[in-house]
Amino acid sequence: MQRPLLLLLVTSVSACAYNPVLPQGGEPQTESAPESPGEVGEVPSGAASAGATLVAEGRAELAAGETGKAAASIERALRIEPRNSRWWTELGNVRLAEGDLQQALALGRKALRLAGSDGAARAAAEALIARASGR
Amino acid sequence: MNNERITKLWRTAHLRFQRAPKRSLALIVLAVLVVYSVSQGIYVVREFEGRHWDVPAHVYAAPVELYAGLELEQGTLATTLTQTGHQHVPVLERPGEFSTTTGELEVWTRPFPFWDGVEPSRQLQITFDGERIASIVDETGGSIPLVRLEPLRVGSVFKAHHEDRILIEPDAIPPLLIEALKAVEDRKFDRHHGLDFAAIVRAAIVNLRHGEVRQGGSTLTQQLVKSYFLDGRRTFSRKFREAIMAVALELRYDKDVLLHAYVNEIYLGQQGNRAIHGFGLASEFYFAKPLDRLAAHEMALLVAIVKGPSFYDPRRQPERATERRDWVLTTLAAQGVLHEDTANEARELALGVTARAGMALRYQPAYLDLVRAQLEDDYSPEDLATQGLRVFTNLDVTVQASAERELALGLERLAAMSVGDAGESPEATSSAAGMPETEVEESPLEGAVVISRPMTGDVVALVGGDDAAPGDFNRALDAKRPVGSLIKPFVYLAALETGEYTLASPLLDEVLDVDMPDGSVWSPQNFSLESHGEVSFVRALAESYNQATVRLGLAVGVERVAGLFERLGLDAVPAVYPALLLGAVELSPFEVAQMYNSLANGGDRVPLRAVRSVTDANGEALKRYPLRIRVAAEPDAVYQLNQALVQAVERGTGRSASRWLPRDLVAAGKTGTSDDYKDSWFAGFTQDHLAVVWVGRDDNTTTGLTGSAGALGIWAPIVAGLSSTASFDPLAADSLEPRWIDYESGQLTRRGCGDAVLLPVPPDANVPRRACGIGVTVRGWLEGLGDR
Repeated sequence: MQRPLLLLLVTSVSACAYNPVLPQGGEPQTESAPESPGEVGEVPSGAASAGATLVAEGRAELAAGETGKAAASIERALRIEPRNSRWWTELGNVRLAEGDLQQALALGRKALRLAGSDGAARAAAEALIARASGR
Repeated sequence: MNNERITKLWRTAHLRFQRAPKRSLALIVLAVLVVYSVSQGIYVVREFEGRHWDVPAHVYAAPVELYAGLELEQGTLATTLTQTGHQHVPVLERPGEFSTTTGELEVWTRPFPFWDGVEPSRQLQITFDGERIASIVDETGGSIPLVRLEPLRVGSVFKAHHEDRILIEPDAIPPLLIEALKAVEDRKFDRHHGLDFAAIVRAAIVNLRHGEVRQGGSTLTQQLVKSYFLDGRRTFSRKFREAIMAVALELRYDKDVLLHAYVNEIYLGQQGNRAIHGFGLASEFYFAKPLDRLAAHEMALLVAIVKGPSFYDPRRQPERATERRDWVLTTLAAQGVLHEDTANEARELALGVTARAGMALRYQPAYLDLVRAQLEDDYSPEDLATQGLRVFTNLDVTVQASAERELALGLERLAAMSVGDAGESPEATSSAAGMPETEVEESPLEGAVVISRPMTGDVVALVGGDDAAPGDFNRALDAKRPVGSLIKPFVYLAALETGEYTLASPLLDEVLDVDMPDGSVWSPQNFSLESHGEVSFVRALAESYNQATVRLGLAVGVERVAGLFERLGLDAVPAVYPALLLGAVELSPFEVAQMYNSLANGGDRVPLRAVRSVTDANGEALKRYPLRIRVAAEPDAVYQLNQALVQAVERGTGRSASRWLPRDLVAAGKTGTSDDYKDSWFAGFTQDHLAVVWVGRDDNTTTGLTGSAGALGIWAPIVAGLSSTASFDPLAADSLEPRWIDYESGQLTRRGCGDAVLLPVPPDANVPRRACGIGVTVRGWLEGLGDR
């Protein structure tokens, strides 16, 4: 396991709350600013931090082409925080990378419903839906 | 040529036989014996190879994930660690140990291979803030965001379903057990070659003296052979065969191997149709704890039971069992296995068996049925029983234990209750007049429970029946029963999906005649035998009015309702006929859970899953069962429906749930009662859990219970006991607006006016406004008082 990279990812995810991830397993877009009002500078809750750790692992696994493991890690995050819209988008991104557009779309729609007023989460879900629908 | 040779041989043999008939006969008998012995030897060795070296699939419960902020008390974590075999010590010295001080727990975890990699061994310091974990740091002082604990092994998959056991590894057999078995059952075990002739002679003398078989001279090896073939007859030929087989095993295997097989094989009790084999399972069955945690007096009891699990059954024959246990303790002291003082102290102790079997944490036969069912498409029974696969499941042992306990207590309560005062809910009391006379109860009250996590579809608990009367019939999976009013939400959902109805829509609850295809006329009645005229959509569902429901279902189309079955999770569409609208369809509790899970999940269907993943014996990933979702029903329609189901629990047929549920816990759900009170159902959910409870009888006779009088009284305590469940609180749909609606009429009103409830309604819905005079307010207030 690439521990230093993982640590970096965890730190970036925890601090920035969320970075959309490229579906083809590219590096997280570190340039994106904290998008969720109210979360800037806040220390994430234990559950969110645990979820972020797992999602960071999932991203690393996705980057390594291990989509099965990536999905498993993100599902663990979903068990801890089932209503976190972003984790559903992350799972959708894995399905998209696998070419399963139908699942990606269903997961994107679920994420969008759960996003509520969280603009960043909405944007991420909408981006996933757009990619899954070939737009 | 060949024929000539055979003829020649035959002649030679014939001549020899004529010359020395006795010697020849002896030779023939000897030859037959040798052939027989060899064949029996080969047979038993093959049998042994199959049983001893095949490694069954091991099944694990869901691992506990620890992180700061998790609601978990220190004591609960200590219990979890103890259950997974960690030792509570003053100071940590090696992996697999933990220590506690006030508000802090230190643990040295063991490495554990999960599907997605090995969770490494770590030394962790966990601090608590009341009922929550405050922080987790490792030995370097670094904060750890997440720790996945080693999961509990909850069973194994064997070829013969009724011979499950908990396998004990050779190095995990307690030395006291080995010494005690030798001392009591087979003193010369280390020296003999399968048979102990002195013991046989001794036993024969005792038996002759008493004129009956009192004592067996069987060695442990002979007992092992006997156990393989499960033939209790004590005939000479069988004894002879057993002796040959015992010698064959001794020739082929070391003593250690035979003793290990014995410990895992020997018959030690009976639970319904299930035979309890091996000391691992027996320890759970009698004491609800693992073998390595038994005290001397408990170990002595297990050794005492070997001689006759039925005759010395410690639950049914405690005096007999105590007498033999004490004799065992005395024998152990006399042979130097136990210190005299220890034996004396042990004799003073009670047997210590649990009151009822079936509460064993490490043996979950009902859940394992679901595991088998889920795996059967991908793995043959042969592979599951022999390949040492590792199966990771979603079972939450805490929730499972609580569901088992509440079902047992609830059934006990219901059985004790007389039918006449069976319920206080509106559904039950209104029906008291029409309640059938109960006949002599032939079959006891039974039940089943299924609990899932709606968003992921994880099945966290499954109870197949009352553990007080255990058997093999898994009612949660296999009892298909009419669902009664549990079907109503699907009728109302079908209506909401058309967009032509809202929760405020007026429905007519009046007598109706439905012309049936066979020329007959169906006139459904309400439970109370009264009609209610024009009522609100929400009230018709919450109060479970039959006539309003049938009218609505016919207006929407029975096909549309039937179609929802497939969309929401079942394999087949039920027969389309009007009685379907009142629940004339048979489903298992698990199937009901699948459908209601889609409701609890906002209209998304996720397959209910027991198994997450499977690895081979070395931890290499073989198969994962991923989370897959499908939009099964229109989300806004489901959102509205669920608000009506919240009303069903708050003020409808489910309102007696408030007796058990915490005041601030919002839940949604529906009662169900089949014809003649044969089946009592409740299906309901919070934000984090869906639970379905069925109560009925195996012979399908009446229970005299409605859904609210029976199943609800089990569902509510189960849900109240879930430590981590939150109020049902779906995110509001954008396309709907919350409005104050008069519960009775469905007209727009304002807060505090009459029986006003806040419900989501489409903004363009044409809802008439109700005048709110002082009379309406007072009347509504008084009615509200009367209701509660």
